[in-house]
Formats: sequence, structure tokens, C-alpha cells
Amino acid sequence: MCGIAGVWVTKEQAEATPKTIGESLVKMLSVLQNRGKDSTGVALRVTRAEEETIRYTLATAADSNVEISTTMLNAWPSRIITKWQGRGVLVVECELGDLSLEYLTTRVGQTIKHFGYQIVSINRNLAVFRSLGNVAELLRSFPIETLGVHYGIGHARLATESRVDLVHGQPLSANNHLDLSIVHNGHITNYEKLRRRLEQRGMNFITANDSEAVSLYLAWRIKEGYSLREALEAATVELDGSFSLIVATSNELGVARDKYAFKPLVLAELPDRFVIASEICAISAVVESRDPSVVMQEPKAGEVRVWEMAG
Amino acid sequence: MIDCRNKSVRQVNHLIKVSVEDGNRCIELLSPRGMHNLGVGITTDVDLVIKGDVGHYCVAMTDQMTTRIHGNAGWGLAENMMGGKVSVSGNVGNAAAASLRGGEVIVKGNAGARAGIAVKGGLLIVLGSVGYMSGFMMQKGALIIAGDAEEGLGDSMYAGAIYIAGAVAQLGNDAVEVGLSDDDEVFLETALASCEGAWGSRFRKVISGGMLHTFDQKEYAVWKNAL
Repeated sequence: MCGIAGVWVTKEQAEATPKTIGESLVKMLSVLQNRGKDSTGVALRVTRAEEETIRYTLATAADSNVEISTTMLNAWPSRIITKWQGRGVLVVECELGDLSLEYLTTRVGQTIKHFGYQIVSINRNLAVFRSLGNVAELLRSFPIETLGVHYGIGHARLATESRVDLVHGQPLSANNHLDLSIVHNGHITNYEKLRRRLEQRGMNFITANDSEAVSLYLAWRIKEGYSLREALEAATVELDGSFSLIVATSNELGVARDKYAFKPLVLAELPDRFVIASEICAISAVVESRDPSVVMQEPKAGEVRVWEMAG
Repeated sequence: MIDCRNKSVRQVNHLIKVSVEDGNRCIELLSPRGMHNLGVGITTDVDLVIKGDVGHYCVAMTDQMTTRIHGNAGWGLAENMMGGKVSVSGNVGNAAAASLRGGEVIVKGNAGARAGIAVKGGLLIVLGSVGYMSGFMMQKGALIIAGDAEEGLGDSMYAGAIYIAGAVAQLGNDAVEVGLSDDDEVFLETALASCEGAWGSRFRKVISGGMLHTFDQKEYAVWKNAL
């Protein structure tokens, strides 16, 4: 039982109230903590920085401290523009320079491996933050409330099968696939089969979390040329078990529900935004429920919705 | 009047119980903000008015109570209700009126998947549409659906009746569509008297085909498909 949340606002609304995304997700996750507080995380669409910058999210399953992460950052292979240091999680925005993304990623991987860290997400338009414990822990290290624009997703985890550590936390991304993060509530029952199939196609699993099969499946489909909507529609057929998913990419937000509607998901539609969460109480934290312009209901079994950013 | 803000579910439910014991006939809940398990287990003839959206299992296991929810509701609305009346002005989540034993539940909007699952008596009216596998393993009572139904309507139902006016994406295993009798017409007219709109003539009836009641080797294929 995990809690998932997502917010999408129109361009006008995003410009009028720039802090909406981060603030809304924090409020929703504080309520969704009733579904789990092993770890908490968010993936936010952020204002795009300079061209050729890359944002790495690094995490360690071991214990870490500021001293270790500072030493690690000193050995960083390219110029660091911004960094956010949390306990066991680092988000580093750096220049790509003359390097290829693949080369820089390999170098970063080598540098941090020595310190027990690994890359859990690579982004250009998104920023992924995770923390053990509840949302207050997440806010202690990262300025979530000030960062998001346009859309974002969040997760409150209750670990059922894989380990409770920062590598296994959510949002989960797909290894080496830029700007793709998912939050998943449910259980993928054909995980082993799916994992073998994806590994044969060159997808690299870094956790034992069944939700990672979802993000890698979507990344593989998108790499094959599927749009996000097509990938999600294929997922509702090919993934077994229960899942309510919210996906963020560089310019889209997608939602999918398994064909049996096993896991809860509520979608509130307002004139200027869409709010998605596992439970109504999380939506009530950010939406005035008696506002007549709000339409709140559960997406259908097997339903897929995708919103795309204009321009 | 009970304001749910800054109170736990336990506190709110305790206040409702105290209020009932004090002899109040009408209790109003304000700002429930999606709280779960509100008003569960009350078995006294009182009016409960909830202003706002409620979470899961609202007024479950109740009897004799009249509940009006001005808002939307989450999963398992009025689950295992023995009697009384519940009305919701908005939409509801999965498993609305699950294991309903008696009384009446009216949803003005749409209901999610498995609406009226394992209903054992009473009446569920959904004026909007219902989701996947509604009326699954229904055993008695009636479901009236003014809108459409997704796949698996009335799957493996034992008895009882589903009346539907809209489109059925697919009937469930062993669910069959039959014509309306005069008694059905009267029943619908009475049941829908308080609901706006004239639905009567457009309804069809879905009942159990009886094939799953006893195992027959020749019908193995049907059994294999049944969940």
C-alpha cells in the first residue's frame, strides 16, 4: 500500500502561481503518509536551465554523511552548476560541456561507485528527490516547495517486498533514459518474466523493486518509438497484477490503471489544473471540495490519460 | 453539528455516537476532507448530513440511519449496510454498497468498479454509469443503473436483479438479459419515484442464467471462464 500523487496545471496558472506544484505535492504527500512512510519522493518538472546541462540523482543504500558526499562532489567529472545534498541522496546539476551524455554518465558512475553511491535518475527537464521517512524528512534537505513548475509527481512508500533504502525508493526512473519517472502503487506479478524479457532487450535493472519493471518497460517501449500514451496502453495489457501509475516525462504527465481497477486512484479536474491521488483525502488537502467546478472521480479500469505540455 | 477539521476519525465517530446517545435526530458533519470510516456502525434511526467529500467505507455496517452526502465518496460506501438510506450527490469509488443487506443507496453521479459486489439484499441506484464487474456475485436485492456499465456486468451472480438503461460493454459470466415484466415496471417506477427524470421504459433486466448454480460437466467451458 503506497500513496501516489500528481499535479498538472495550465501554463497560465503555472506562470501566475509558480510554487503551486511543489506546495501541492507536499500537502498531498503529508496526507498520503497514512498509506506509508518508509520513504518519500517527488519528481518535478523544473524550469529548464542552460542548454547542455544534466541533472543526476544519486542515492546510496548504505549510511552516508555530508563529508562523504562533499568529497565525492570534489571529484565530479564536469562543472557543477547546482547541487542539493540530502542524507544518502544527492541531486547534482552539471554541465555536459564537450562530453557525450553516455561518457559523462559512465564517468559519474565510476566516480561515485567508490563512495557507495549509484545513479538512480538522469534528467534534463525533471528533478527527482527522495528521502527515507516522511515528507518532513524530504523537506529538510530539498526545497521542493519552490522548485516545481507545470507538473510533478510524488510517492509515499510502504515497502512490501523489496528493501527499504534510498535506491529502492520512488519515483523510479529508467536507467540511462532521460526524463522518465514513475510513481506506482501496486504489485507487478509477472515481474520475473518481464525482467528477463527487458534484460534481454538491454534494459538494466538496478533494484529488486517490482515497480522498476514498470519504468523500464515504459522506457523500452518509448525507445521502440511508442508515444507515452501508446506505451501506457501497452502496459495495461502486458503488465500483470495491480497498478495505479503516474508517469512524468520531459513534457508529459500520464496516468494508467490496471484493467481490474485493483488499486485506488482519484482524479480531480478543475478548469486550471488536474489533481491525481490515491485517496480523496489527499485531493481535499489542495482542492476546495465544495467548489462546483471540481469534477472528482476514479479513472476507469484500464484507463490511460496523458497530458502534454503545449509548445 | 460536528466540524471534522483537526479531529481524528476516532474523535469524529465518537462525537457522532455521543450525539446519537444524547437524542439528537439530525447530525451534520462539516469539512470531512476525504476522511475514511465516517459514521460506521451506527444503528439508530437518525439523519446524518455530510457536507463535503468522504473517504473509504463511509457509513459502513449501519442500520436505520438516513445519510445524505453532499460531495463524492471513496471505496466501499455503505458496505454491509443492514438498512436505512444513503444518498450521494457526486461520484463514488470502487465497491459501492458492497455486501449490502438492506435499505437503499442512491448515487447521483458515477460509481467505480465492482459497484454492488456481493449484494445480499436492498437496493443500489446509480444514476450515472458503473465500472468494471458491477453486481459481481450478487445474491439478492436489486441494482438500478441509469447510465452505462463496463465489462463484466453481473458476473457470476447467484440471484437478484440488475436493471440497466444505458449500454453494457459486456455481460459477465452467466449473466443474461431478459425482458421486463409488469412487476418490474412497477418496481422501477416506485424505486425511481424520488429520482429526477423518466427512466422507466428504457430499462432492461439482467439476471443470473443459473448455469453456475450446479456443476455440469457439459458446461465446463463456462466454469473455466468464471472467476
